[in-house]
Amino acid sequence: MIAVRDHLDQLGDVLPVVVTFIDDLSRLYAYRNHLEIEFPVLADIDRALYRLLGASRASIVRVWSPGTIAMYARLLLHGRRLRSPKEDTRQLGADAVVDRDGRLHRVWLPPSPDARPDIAEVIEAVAELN
Amino acid sequence: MTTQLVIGEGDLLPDVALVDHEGVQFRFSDHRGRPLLVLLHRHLA
Repeated sequence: MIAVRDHLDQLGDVLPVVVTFIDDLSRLYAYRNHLEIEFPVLADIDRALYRLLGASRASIVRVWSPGTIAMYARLLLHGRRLRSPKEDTRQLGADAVVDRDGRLHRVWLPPSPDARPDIAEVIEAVAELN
Repeated sequence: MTTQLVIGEGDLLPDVALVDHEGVQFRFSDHRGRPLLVLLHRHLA
């Protein structure tokens, strides 16, 4: 989300939307403020969109991949305090670009939760729509 | 056993029950004409 927020000027008229499975609207609001984003943060409580896009839940081994562990190590080194998770930590998520007609143009399904498409790859996929 | 429908590239993204941070229903179909970048959250610290 942060990379998208910081590269909005390269994404044309794209509307980013963050989809979560948080069921408490106050937490949704706080999450949006925490990320300092101005685009919508949505709740998909039933995870219907997650299922539609094929975003799966991973095994503990896949969730705690070397990349995930390295990411947490970096956060700790930067002074971040980690909290006990209250959410489903096994959800892998996904990212997708939808064209102007409402069709899926590109979908990224990550192998582990720390894996996200490089922002340059996202910008390139968006540029293909023009 | 249930059948799981998964859509792929080129498929129309249907409306599903989504609500925004202000409690307002969000429909993908209301945003036709504008590209969307959909970021499905996964839990990280």
